[in-house]
Amino acid sequence: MTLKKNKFILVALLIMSTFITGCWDYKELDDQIIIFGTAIDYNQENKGIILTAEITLPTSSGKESNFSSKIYQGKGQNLMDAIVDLQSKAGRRLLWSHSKVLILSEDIIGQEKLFVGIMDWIKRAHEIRDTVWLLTTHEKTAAEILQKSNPQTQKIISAYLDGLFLAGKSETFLDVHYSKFIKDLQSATVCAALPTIRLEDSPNGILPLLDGTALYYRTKEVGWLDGKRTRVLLLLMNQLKQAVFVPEPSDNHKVNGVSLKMDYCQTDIKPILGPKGLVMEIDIKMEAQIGEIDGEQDVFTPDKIKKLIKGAQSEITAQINELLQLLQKDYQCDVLGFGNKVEAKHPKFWKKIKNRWPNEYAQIPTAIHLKLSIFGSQESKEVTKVGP
Amino acid sequence: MYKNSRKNKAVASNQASRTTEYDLSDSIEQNEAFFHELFKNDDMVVYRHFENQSDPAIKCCAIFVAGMVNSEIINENIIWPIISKVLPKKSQLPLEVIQTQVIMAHDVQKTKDLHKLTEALNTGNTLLLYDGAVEALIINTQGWQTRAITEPENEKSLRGPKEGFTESLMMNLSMLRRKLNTYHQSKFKFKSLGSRAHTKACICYIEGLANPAILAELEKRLDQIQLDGILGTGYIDEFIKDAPLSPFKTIGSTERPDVVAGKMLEGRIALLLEGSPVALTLPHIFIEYFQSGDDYYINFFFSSISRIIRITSFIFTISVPAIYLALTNFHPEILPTPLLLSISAARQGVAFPTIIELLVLGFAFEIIREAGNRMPTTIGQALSIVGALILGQAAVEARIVSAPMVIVTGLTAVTGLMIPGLSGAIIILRFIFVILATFIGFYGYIFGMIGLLLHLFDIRSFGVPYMTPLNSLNLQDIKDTVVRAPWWYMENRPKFIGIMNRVRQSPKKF
Repeated sequence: MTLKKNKFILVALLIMSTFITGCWDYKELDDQIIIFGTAIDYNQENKGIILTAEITLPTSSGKESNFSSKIYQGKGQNLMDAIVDLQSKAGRRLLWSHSKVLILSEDIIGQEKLFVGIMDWIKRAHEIRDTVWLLTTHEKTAAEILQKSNPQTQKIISAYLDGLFLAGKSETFLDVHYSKFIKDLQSATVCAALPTIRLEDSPNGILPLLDGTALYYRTKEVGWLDGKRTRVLLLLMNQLKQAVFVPEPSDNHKVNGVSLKMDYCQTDIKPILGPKGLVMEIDIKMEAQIGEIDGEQDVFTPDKIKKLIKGAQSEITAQINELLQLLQKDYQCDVLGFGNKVEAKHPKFWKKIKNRWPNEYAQIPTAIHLKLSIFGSQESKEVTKVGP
Repeated sequence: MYKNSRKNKAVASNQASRTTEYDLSDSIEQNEAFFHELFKNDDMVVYRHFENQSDPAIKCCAIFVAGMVNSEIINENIIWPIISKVLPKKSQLPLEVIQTQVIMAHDVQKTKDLHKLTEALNTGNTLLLYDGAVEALIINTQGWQTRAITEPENEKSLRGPKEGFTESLMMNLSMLRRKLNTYHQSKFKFKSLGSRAHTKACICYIEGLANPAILAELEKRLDQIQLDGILGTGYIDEFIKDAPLSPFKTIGSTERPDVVAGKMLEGRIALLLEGSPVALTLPHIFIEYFQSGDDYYINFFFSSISRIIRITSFIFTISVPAIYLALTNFHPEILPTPLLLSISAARQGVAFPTIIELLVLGFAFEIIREAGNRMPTTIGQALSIVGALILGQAAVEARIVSAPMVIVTGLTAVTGLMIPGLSGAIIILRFIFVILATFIGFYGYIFGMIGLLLHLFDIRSFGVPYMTPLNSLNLQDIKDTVVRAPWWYMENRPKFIGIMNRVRQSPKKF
């Protein structure tokens, strides 16, 4: 009898628990507008926010489906206010869970209060994902990117940008998720970095171009790296998996005009506490193949390969040194997370220098050990010749 | 209380149906008159008087039912010897001599039991009344038309035998017996079912393999059936199954003798019924739904793949509508963006919410399926045209349903047809899952799944847990489940079912 009673209570509880959950949100897909990307600008007039959203309106007629996007703008005191405005203009519920990119203008990042509000909203709102790509622009407004650009291969700009980030073969820009950005932003020592986007004129219209990296200390932009330096930054961050190395044209270089295709890059940054103090040791292992030889030259003798390696090594090391100089001395921006590494490896030492870290950081000597090996020449080892 | 009174009534009607008590007298006229009275208004019963040529005092009367007998046997083996043979004087010719020396039939019995006589008459035997004898002979003259042995439509086999059960019990048993030459160990036990119709049933098992406890339980349950007539094995199934309200079968059914023989060799018990081409096998566990007879004849890799497909189909057919609903209406963030876009595009302008679409289209499919089952085959083409064109294409073009919904329903339907035995359960489960998913999305679907698994692990078939051996981690136990192991690896009989003798392959013999 009690067993039966218990069973009944169990079943009743199960059924009840299904009906008192907070998930009663049956929403039809076609009643929602899918937001693909947003750009946020600072509104000088009322010291508020201009929210520009790229929304998609999937339509289908007969057997064809058509996906195009439209740009809507909402204004408000802060982000939520602007969203309400946007929603009333769009006329339907907004679906945020598929928004891919969030473009922040320079102005809005500078407005610390509003900027923190935006970051906070992304964290709190349950629909927008932490994997939304963040980027910034040096154009006049962020809205321009969505309004003006016309990528030739995709109708939806945000999908185009998403595709670029997802391809994962970026050499000239970082891919920064919201979750990574907010982690760096909240960190005491690490500098946050965002990829920058700009518009480039082309005969077929204006193209959006991802190029370069903006570096931040708190919400202040302290520096900007162009595409080439971004590549070196990626290498130091151990995020560069495949890259192309094209040597600088110079006359004194012995093996000129040989481009390398890096197939494997592994970077290890270790803080070494020696008798002379703290040294950051940067170990880089690279494996490359010969990708292109400009001009008729036979580089496949052991001697020449050695020279080739030496030349490339010194050039890459020089590039790294230049970047480190820039980061340490000019920008004073610990985007590589040296501070974190010291803290993890030498906690006692870290306690001593914690308070004067920004000064300390600029002074840390670095030792770069670059080991490049060339293991092949893709498909052919022949020298390409013109005529006899 | 109610049950008791019902029982009493049944007993009363049972007794009423029995023939009135009568002892055969030594006067053939009187006896014949009695039978005339007994079978009044039954013109199928034929009475044939004949006497011996040389001694007209030797009077006989053959009673049989026209259409159920082989008249050649009656003519040549009963009537001819008595009429034209030179027989001893009547005083020296008792019924025993007729039985042993005159009648040329393979099965002749002598009785005065009226029940036996009438029952024998109804099953195609001929009664021979003999003047001066207070007993009568029952001569086996059975001979009626049966359907030829054909391959069952519902269980086709590629490399297995092509024979299937027919409606004749004896024919079915002979097919079974030919496959099981187990010396004296194959047992075929007859039983009469139905308090009025007295249908003959046969319990088949192999001694030493079948569990006597299950056998006793089966007989006990069969004895409790008080229905007046059992016309098909489906009746028995519902009467004796363990979980009467479950949509899942706890008793297997098949039309293939090789399948029955295989199951008997694993230690199962089969139940065959006169007039039904479907045999019952028990105990029946869940995984048997997905085991086809053909699995054991073709290559084990291939049959394993087929089984995996069948199991995934089952999961698909109960889940796809609910998952689609949950994805599109509760968790669109899980969908890949291009898919979200195309579903959203297809939904634009569709009048009804997804759940209505789903239910209406699902119902429409069930209508087509049922119509397909019931209609004459000649108009099948019309149905498929109407179903495909009107319900599919036209409905999408008119934006009454969306195109993804047709795909979902189509996938559900096709996967649902793969396991015919489960079709009833599938419809119910699918509906419950959809309703749960409508209210609370994936959460509800998961709830439904948990409920389903709890139910499946809860029920038993004749004491054998229904989900055996899916809860086992022993490799020998699961060799014939999701994948079929090669025959040389299946050394043991299935757990629980072959408990009387686990070893199927004895290494000592070879």
